[in-house]
Amino acid sequence: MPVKKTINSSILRKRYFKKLSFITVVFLFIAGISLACDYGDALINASSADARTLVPILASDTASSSISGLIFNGLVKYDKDINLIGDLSESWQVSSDNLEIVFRLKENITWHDGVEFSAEDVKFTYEKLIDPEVRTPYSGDFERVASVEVIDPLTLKVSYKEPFSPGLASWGMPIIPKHILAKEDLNTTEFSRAPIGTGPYKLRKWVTQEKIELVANEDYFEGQPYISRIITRIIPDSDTLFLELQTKNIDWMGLTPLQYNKKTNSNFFKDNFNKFRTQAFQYTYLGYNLNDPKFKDKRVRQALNYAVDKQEIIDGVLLGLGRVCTGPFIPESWAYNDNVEPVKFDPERAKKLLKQAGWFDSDKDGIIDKNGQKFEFTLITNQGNDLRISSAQIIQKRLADIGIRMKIKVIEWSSFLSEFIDKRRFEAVLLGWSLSRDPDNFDIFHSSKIKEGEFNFVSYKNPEVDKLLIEGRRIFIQSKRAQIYKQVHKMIYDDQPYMFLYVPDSLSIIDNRFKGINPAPLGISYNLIKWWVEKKDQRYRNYFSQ
Amino acid sequence: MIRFIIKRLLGLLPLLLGITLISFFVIHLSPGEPTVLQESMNPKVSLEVKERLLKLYDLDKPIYVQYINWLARIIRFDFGTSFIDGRPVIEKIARRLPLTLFINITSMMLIFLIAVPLGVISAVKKNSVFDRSMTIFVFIGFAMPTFWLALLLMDLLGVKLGVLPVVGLKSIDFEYFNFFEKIFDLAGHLALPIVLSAFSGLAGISRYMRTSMVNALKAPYIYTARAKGLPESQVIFKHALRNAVLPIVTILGLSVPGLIGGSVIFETIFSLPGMGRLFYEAVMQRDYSMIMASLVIGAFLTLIGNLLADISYAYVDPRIRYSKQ
Amino acid sequence: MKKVFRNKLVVVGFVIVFLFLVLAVFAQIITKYDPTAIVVEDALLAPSADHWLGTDQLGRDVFTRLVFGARISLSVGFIAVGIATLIGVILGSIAGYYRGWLDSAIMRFVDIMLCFPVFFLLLAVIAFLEPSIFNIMIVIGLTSWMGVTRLIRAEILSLKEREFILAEHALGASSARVILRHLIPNSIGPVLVSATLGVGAAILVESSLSFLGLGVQPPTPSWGNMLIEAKATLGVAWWLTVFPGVAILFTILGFNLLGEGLREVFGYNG
Repeated sequence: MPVKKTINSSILRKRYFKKLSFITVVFLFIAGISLACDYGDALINASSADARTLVPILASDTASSSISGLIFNGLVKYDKDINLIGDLSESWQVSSDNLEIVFRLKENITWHDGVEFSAEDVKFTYEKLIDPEVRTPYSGDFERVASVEVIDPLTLKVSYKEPFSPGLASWGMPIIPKHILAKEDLNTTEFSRAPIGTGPYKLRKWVTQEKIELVANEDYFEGQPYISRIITRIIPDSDTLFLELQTKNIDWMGLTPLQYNKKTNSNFFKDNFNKFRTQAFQYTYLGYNLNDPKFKDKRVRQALNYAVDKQEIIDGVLLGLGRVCTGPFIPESWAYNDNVEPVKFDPERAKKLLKQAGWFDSDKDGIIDKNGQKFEFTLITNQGNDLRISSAQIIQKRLADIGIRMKIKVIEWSSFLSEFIDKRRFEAVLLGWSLSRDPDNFDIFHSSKIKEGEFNFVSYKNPEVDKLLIEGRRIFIQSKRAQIYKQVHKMIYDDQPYMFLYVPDSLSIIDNRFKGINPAPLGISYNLIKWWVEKKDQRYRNYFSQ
Repeated sequence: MIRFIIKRLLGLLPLLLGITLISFFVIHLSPGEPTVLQESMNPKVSLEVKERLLKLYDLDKPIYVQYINWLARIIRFDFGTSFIDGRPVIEKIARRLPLTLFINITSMMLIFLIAVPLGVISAVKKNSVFDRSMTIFVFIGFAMPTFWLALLLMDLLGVKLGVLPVVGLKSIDFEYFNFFEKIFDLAGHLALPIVLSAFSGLAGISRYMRTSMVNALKAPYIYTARAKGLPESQVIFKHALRNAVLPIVTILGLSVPGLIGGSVIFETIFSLPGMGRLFYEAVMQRDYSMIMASLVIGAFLTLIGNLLADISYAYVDPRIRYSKQ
Repeated sequence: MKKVFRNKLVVVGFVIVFLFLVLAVFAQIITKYDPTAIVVEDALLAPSADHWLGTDQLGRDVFTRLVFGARISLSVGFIAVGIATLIGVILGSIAGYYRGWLDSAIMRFVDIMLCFPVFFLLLAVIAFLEPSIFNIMIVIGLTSWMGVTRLIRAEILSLKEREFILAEHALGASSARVILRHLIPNSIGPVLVSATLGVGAAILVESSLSFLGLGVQPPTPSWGNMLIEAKATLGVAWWLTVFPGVAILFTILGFNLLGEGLREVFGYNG
């Protein structure tokens, strides 16, 4: 009867375990929740496009950057309250003349292949960033570096040609391994599909146009992430993505205002998901081509600012999920000037200002004119952003009310940039800027940046702003910099090179089995490695490395 | 037969040359440079950087030099590397093409299997209620914007009823499935795209089949067969059908480019990693080498499709072999 | 003409097409709203007495946009097909009439064009030229003339040998006269059929282009871009999804039935 015996003992064992787990649960309950983070499960999110390359210093598209962000680390990073803290570096020291930064690196950090990380890797990354043969878009900040010296394996000295305060934050640039890439051509290396980093997750599998699967790095220097796998599925159409969310095959996605406000209120969503609304570091604006005679006159630009009701755009397009923008900084930034009041919507005042500038309807055809020329212009915007296209249509209507005829042209992104923005072939443009956390705005508003292909494409020139922008880059003390940028903020809002429209909220939805999510000024994903799922709620297999 | 095939193959060469010429110039006369996307409006990119990128991609040479260089390369089957990620174009296409071909061939077979009997019945019972309602039915399939119908069905079958997966090719834990589960999973994911693609393509073929059958039934030999007293079923299936199906083979060959083109829509809405989406992305990113390779290979596939149709036609009907040149 | 309208398919198709044509032509009279007038407060209203087919995300009247959209969609269809037919008729009659190297050159060109996955070509060209109604019409026209060319050529080849044409030649008529006065008018039947079917196809192509963001651009309503805007409101506003879709469906169905009917009437198979 040996068979029977086995069966019995297995039943016994099961009972025993049941009891045990009961005890454990009780114990944990008493001990407090903090101990109870379980490892395992997978987080499924989606991207509308596949990543292009996982060589982080070449990656410029969202998908590539966000995935390589989990595989690699920089020397510094932002904490949840947007203060710079060490990532691969333990600490740093800025010299009194602000020309040198000495980084002390953390000990015992290893690459995913087990090789030790050292200062040589940082120097190597820097050399690749300034190598003209390497197709990186990030060399700008590093061209100001005079030299990078390895003092010892864990100490590194960076010297600048001139004081450059955004320099420190630029070392958030992901560091790549020298021991693997030293002999490779970065532009064509296989590494782009098989990256080795220092980060919390390792690449396991990349199926082109289907999914990119990452697994937890058990040896991560901040501790092993709880979630075992992060899988990014490639789903190009945002509406089918939303259908897929409803089948619970997606755990995390960004929402449109309509989805956030109207499509996710059913019990199904309340029972299965949590919604998050945080600040996004971006703003949307209407930029004028300041070389266009119509827009040269500041009064005209101010008039247009009075004529467009930003709140109407926020209500109509963002469904209230955003704020009025008053300048090139968002309210959470330390550079933001609270004293800059957004103008009130006032079409009459707009008409008055236009009349002062010589624009009024002399021939009674409904369109204002000056010297026989009608006030007509074309606003261009890029394809694929419905919020911008809708905003443009609202602006069109409001400008028509004061006698300005605005046409809208939606242009596909690639030619939008190369043919219209770079070549300055536009009258007005509707676009958005994603902001870095450092308020340095030099590339966007300094008058030296108006050449073809540069980012001051509206050709804004204000000598005082120029002076302040240069000063802002040379000073390292935040409170003093804040003074400068607050002035910049006020001057730019007064000059109106852009009609500042709105700061949208960042909206997302996450399956509610994920615990430990803690929204902060930086957003929600900063503590991804601390997210976890209770064993009983885990839905997908864990990945065990052999 | 061999001589016929060789002759047809040689005839393809000037066509291929024409194809490359048209693709190349269409693409190069367009505005927008591939390097632009690299920076995606990132303020941290300096102008020097942009110029450097342009040089690196060889785009500063005159266009005819670029064409000749390119042609010289594709003769050796070297389609160059993608502007976007630096990987060989041919490798990227090779990875994506099988899925597109699989979906298209399956839906073509489905079309054939439905269209032939449908056409036969419609022709035999010409102008009957069945004929008329089938006409409407296949035209509805044609007239529905595919992405619209797809979205409605995804919502109904995927979300509301939960019987079919909504998007993608495989489930998350696909790799842990056993063989049968894998087959089942793939079939589930591909069911909607294939059925929809067949539904939208049904109209053309079934109408051709109907016409072809109507004509076949009018042919003198049918009267002869009937006069001989053969049973009607034998008249229809043995004599008329055989002759009526032949032209359909050619039509199927001709419908290859339409199907490949249509895959852009299907693959985008169903998130399938196929050739159509590869092409669309290449267009949006001005990835010239990828666009040209896709056009050339797409056209090449059509030529192959036509050739296969011709050969099978000639095989069945020897008259063709001698009459075509 | 009587014969034409005795065919049931023709009648049904014609009624549908005619109805939409009337809507398109009299759009301004039929509705009191402006298709681009935004009223943010009225966003996403369900169908009512005020707004027969409801309103869209920016509070615009859907019925109004639909009838103005009919204008755009139908013009895209007609003009694209017009261009294709014009090219097809010219090239086809040259090839069929003169034969020789001109014929082979034209027909090789047709072969080459037929090899391209046309939608790929369309996509590339429209993306490069920027999607305006004008470009869309032209590019659809320029990529769909091959069928007509073949058709006309075949018709002319067979007509050329008929007695009345031979007689014209014997009487010393010029080639141009023969082509314009006799050959083209006599092959108009099949062309009409293929053009009718072509209009429907072109409208569908525009909606597919819209799906990829390359169709008629806002704020101008076309059925294609209305359907795309509706995609985002699936599950919130059924009227946005249903009506433009049904409009496309019926129109194309109408054109196809009409074409099919005409085909039967003219007794032309191909």
